[in-house]
Amino acid sequence: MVPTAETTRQTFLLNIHVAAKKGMIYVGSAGTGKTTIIKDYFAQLDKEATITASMNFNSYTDSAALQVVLESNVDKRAGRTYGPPPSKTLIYFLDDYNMPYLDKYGTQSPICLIRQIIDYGLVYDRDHLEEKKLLVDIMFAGCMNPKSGSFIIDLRLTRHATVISCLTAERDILKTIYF
Amino acid sequence: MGSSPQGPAGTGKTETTKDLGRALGLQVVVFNCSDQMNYMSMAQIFMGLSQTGSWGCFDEFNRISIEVLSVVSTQVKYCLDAVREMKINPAKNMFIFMDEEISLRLTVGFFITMNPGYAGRTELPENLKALFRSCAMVTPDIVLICENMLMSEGFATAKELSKKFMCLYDLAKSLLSKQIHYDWGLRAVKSVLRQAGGLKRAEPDISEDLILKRGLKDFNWPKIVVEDRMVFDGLIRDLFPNIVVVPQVNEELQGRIVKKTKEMGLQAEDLFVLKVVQLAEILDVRHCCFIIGSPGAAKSTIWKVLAGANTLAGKDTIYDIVDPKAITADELYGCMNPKTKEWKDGVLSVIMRDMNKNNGPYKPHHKYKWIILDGDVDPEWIESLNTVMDDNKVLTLVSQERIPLTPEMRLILEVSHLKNATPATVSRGGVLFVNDSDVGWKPFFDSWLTKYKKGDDEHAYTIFQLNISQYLGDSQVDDLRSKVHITPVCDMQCVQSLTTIIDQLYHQLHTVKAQYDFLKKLKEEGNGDRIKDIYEAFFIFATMWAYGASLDEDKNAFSNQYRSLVTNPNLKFPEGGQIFDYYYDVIEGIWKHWDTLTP
Repeated sequence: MVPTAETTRQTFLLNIHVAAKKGMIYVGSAGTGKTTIIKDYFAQLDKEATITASMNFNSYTDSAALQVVLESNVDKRAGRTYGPPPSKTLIYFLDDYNMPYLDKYGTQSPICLIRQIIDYGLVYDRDHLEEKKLLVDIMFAGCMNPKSGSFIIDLRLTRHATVISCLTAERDILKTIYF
Repeated sequence: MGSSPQGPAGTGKTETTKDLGRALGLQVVVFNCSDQMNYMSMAQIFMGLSQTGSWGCFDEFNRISIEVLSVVSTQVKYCLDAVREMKINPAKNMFIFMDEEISLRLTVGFFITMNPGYAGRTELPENLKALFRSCAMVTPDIVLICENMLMSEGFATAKELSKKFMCLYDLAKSLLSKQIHYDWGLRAVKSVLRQAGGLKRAEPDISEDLILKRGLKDFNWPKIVVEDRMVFDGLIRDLFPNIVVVPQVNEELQGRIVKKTKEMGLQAEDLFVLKVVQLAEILDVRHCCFIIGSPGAAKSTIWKVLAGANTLAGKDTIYDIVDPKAITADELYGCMNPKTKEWKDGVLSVIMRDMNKNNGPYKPHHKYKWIILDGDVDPEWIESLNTVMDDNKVLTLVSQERIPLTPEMRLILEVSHLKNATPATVSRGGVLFVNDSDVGWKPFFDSWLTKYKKGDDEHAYTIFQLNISQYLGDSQVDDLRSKVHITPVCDMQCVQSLTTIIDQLYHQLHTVKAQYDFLKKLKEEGNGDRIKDIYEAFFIFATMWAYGASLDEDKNAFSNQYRSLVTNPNLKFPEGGQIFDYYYDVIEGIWKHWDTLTP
């Protein structure tokens, strides 16, 4: 991984957003380095303060599958509260945010679930539906390619995040990387 | 033989059936059919009806899946055959149904009501159609209904008023823009009349024209979109000329809302408070309400403030939130395990039962219990709530359980659009439409600014306030909105990103040692201008990332535009590249290329 001005500034921005636990979404076509930015950022993180979990969305991802991944990364804290180990922040990285299958009415259930978590920090236990779980100290970062999948995702979700567009790297940046 | 009244939403199919049953002294049980129903659960219903001789009214019958319907047709046929035989030979009062011998009462009857042609509906098989006598229902003469209801609410000039009333609704239907959430049908008429009745009883002495005018305006105003306001206002004025409506203000409620809004650290803008008052008024007359508005239009804040304001008055409000589409329909309403016949409760059925019985977190002292359904509406899940949303007020589950809605309970549906909702759904609920311009992002920004005002950093407050008009004036924001973004964004989103980034930069300034020492030095020197420069730089940096980063091809144009907006000579961007290539070095006080940080 060759650091460029791009990776440096994105790391700076990601640090800001992680500190505020605010979501970020990188949008760009294939090969613009969306995933690399985040993976690279994850690699240099202080594991004592921040832990990460990744999931790739595909058209078969539904809210139940997402919830399994979400829940497998958090521990019970007290009562109904779940979260990463105390005083740590957990970042979920969701690649291909817009890939899940659109139902007949244009809704993507994993997106709804994430929105419910961001808005209210709340999920319902899928086996004991009467039980609520409160998720704390988590945040979401994601990538999507606006030329695939459902193209866009519900604005009610994206509005909670900062959207950053990734454009194809310019010639001189590529030069720095390859020469 | 059964009967199947068919017709558009709100023509009284179910009510007619219920009323006929009442006239004949027979019990009518209303079932809300859903695609979760299987032949076993239908068999149970038929068995129960046959043995008690009551009538079954199956609402939205054609939502049942086609596989189940073909079995249902046999089941209905069995029952009807048995009835026919018993009529000939009264001694034969037992018959075999699904391998069980059960008793039969002659009065049994089946009624199915449906809206043909809606999304998520099936076509009935011919053999099933043959078992029910179809009966077309047309929109009733609302003028007459209206007149009678007005009369029963105590209006003396009911005849004249009802004509005006219907005239307004007819005109509204044809003159206003076509919005999915507009409904001028029977259900809407009924709610207005109920509200007008309340007004009349509260002030029996003022003129009836005035009361009705106020009722009509108060009731319909919340759902009228901005573009239609002029037209609607004109219509009302033409129909009730020379009557001046003094806006009725519930000052006590308004005061409470303002108090709560301030408590929550928000701005009590007039339009916002008005929306909250409107929500309170809708919830007084309807037990189900849609809050519609684009993302970031303050929908959630409206109901949260109202809940808080109610609690201030000692009317404790408790709510539960579900995104109905984050889980499957089975998980929402509960489902029957097909193998073990074991019933598994769903999220909504548990919440409703607990609210009804005051179990768990719900206590009798809670004056309002709200179920917030925050998520997209589609006919597949919402139509199972049809009986809850209309006057029946019961949730009928596939397990045959019926959970009534108690007077404290309200359904609030928070949605961004009703594209997929059928008229059957729309006509069942009150509508509060939040326009983008009603609240907007300015109050949010002001609330955020207050944080800095309260802190002792006077520079930050004044600079940010100045900057907002310099860098994010109305024309700039409009201009940005029209540019091509890589994915849709909304104003609120950008403002929230902006404030987050500034907050964090500000935080860094006060925690990173080198920066903080520098800041302290500046303060000791009394170098206020330099501090102001730093804050302005923060604002510029945050603006470009919050507003510019999501642009697609217009990034260059944006960059040049903002370069020229910076008037402060100390903060001019260096030549070359885009403004995104620079960061602000607090200590040196200049914009530096990110390259300088790359090893």
